[in-house]
Amino acid sequence: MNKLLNTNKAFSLVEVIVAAAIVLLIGVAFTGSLSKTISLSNRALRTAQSTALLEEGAEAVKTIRDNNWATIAGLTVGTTYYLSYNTTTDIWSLTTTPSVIDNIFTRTIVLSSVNRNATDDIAVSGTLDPKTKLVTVTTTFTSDGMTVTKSLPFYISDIFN
Amino acid sequence: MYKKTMKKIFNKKGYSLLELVIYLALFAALSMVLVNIAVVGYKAYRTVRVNRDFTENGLLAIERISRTVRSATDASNSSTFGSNPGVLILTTSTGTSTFDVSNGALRLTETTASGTTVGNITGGIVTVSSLVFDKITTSKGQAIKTAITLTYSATSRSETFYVTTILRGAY
Repeated sequence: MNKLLNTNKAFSLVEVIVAAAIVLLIGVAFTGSLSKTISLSNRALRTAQSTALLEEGAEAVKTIRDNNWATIAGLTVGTTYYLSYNTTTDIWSLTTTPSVIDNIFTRTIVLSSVNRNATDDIAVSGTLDPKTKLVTVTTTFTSDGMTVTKSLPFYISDIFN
Repeated sequence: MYKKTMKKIFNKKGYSLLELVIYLALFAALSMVLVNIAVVGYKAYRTVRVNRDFTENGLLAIERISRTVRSATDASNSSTFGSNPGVLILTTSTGTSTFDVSNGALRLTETTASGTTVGNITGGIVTVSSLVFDKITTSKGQAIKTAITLTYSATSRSETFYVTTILRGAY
């Protein structure tokens, strides 16, 4: 009879503390994942802006080529160039002076030389083609402490001659 | 006999004061965490929603503008270039397409032989606060440089999208 009276359906203090600790832990983990969600959505926005900036970079270099191929041919292969827009003359130009867009993005242009093989296809080794260049537009931004880089390589040729 | 009944009454299952204080403290800590989750969760939802609207509308605007410019044959000089709010009037293969800002949204008006269609490209909780077009004239053709700024009015947060597109139809 005494044994029956001693079993009560209650929680000991230790049990309650342990349960509370578990709930607290779950809460902390959840809010931690929320901050990651926010930074990921921010990164998606920056990536979208980068995509547009990369396309702008490619088209801007093409306008430079359209005006005169000699400007492209006169650039040094492997040097990091930056795009600069003159709002008075409405002309894009390449300069070695670094610039940052909206304090967020850095856009660079690097040229590589192109070789063609015996059948005039672009190949790793062959004859150097002075009328074709491989242009790489690169955009970098920081997201959540990490530096994110997006690149767009494309070929540009002296097609108007 | 009176004493025995008294003992029985006071022997009922209850809670000691110390027990109550401890449980109250634990409950307070727990509810703090839960409220924090709710508040942070709500803030996260607002931020993600705004980011999503910026990204979606920015991409929509850029893609529509660059696609229309690319296939255009001429960028009219009656457009408003170099200032905000910009107006871009393009001559296309089917007629005229005009980009401008109307009530905080990017608007596209297409006039063809069969009629005119007007529609907003952007929407949601962000508005177009700045739209600037620049016309680039090369010795071989034309290009349009676009800068569109979207703003979320509640926090005054702005994000700008830039794109330049060559008119392939003007070569």
